[in-house]
Amino acid sequence: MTTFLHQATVYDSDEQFLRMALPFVADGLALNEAVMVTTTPANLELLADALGADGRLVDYAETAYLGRRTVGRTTAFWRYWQRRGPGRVRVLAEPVWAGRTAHDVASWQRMESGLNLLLAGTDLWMICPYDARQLSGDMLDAARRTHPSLCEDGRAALPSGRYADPAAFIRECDAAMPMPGAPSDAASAVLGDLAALREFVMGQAGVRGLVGPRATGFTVAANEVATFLRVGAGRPLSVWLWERLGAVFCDLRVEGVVEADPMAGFLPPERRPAPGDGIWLARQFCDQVEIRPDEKGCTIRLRVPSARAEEFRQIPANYLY
Amino acid sequence: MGLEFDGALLRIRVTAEPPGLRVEGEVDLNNLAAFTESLTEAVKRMPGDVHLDLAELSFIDLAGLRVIADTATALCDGRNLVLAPVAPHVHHLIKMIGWDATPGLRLAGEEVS
Repeated sequence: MTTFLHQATVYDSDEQFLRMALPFVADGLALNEAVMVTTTPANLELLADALGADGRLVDYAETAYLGRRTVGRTTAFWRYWQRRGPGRVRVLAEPVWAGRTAHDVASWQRMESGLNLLLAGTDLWMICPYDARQLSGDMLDAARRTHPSLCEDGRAALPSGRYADPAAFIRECDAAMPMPGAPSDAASAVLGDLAALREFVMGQAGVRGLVGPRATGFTVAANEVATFLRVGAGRPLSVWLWERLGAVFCDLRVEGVVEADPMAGFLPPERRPAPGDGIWLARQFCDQVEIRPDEKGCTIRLRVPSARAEEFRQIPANYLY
Repeated sequence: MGLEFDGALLRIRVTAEPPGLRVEGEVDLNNLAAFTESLTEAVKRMPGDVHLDLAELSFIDLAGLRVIADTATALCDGRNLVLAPVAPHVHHLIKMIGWDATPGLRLAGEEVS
């Protein structure tokens, strides 16, 4: 029997952060449990100073680099659990919130809520600190809505009175992130099969300067999404592709009923096939994969960094994936 | 070199030395059944390690990669499914998913344990 514990904690000083984090980490080490800390460089330093020599046994990550995107985050937690479980595995996880777009904030809050479903079968004990010195009241409220319980001392927890059912919370996030249709300058086509889609995406990516592994990754993502949408005989695919500052977008749409789990594709494929596996693969290459079913069909939007992304020009693309 | 399968997007040839298959073109949902059958038949027919030459595999989807992993797992008696040479993007996908650690699978460029 496993128990996933997912707790939020709100702190407004270094001392308060340590009053929670130090017992949580030190107790874990004393019990020979795996402990990972992924937080800001400043908080990592606080913990390093407080733990002294014991700190060398703590797995850690500067939080901005453990999952650029939400899928990287969920995958990292899952793989840490797979490597260090079974048995209790502790994770202190403080995401980056500052400087994010409203869409990004909603995506990360959506993920925080989704973790309650994704990690339900694990023995992870996760505490997510929220810095009240930097975050708005709405952000702190969202923390209480996405975590079933609250922990102040790294040991005991109280139920969160504001906790929201993840499915309902996720629907709310999606409603808060409206997705207007493709712009009039988008290249578009109606395609009958996957090979035609790959040719379209590869060609349109090339026109926009995306070539080599970047174009291949985009094509892999589009193909997996179209496979997920069961494109094929009698089910044509409408596709639109366009570019803006910072991104190339691709919308893929089929008409008809699509069973789309809103948390599809956040955990890596296992050997036994699951419906969201291809979506996980698509998410490896995309900054966003938005799955939007409606009454008539389903649209999935992919967003990849454009050819002008300097980061990808200066560092081999494989490293960033 | 015998032509095992010749489709619009995918060609599979039997190789004698090393014994195995050369897969050229694109594997997707539409030719997955043919790809699966060729692999299944090859490992039944050939004793010992079976080699897959994936240098000219220009596209493969997740389901196709799963067939490779499943075929490797089904081998026993110390036999391996050896992927060599492998197109870089295919190598990258297998590592990304984590299926390079599949029992019975040997990926070019990896140390043999």
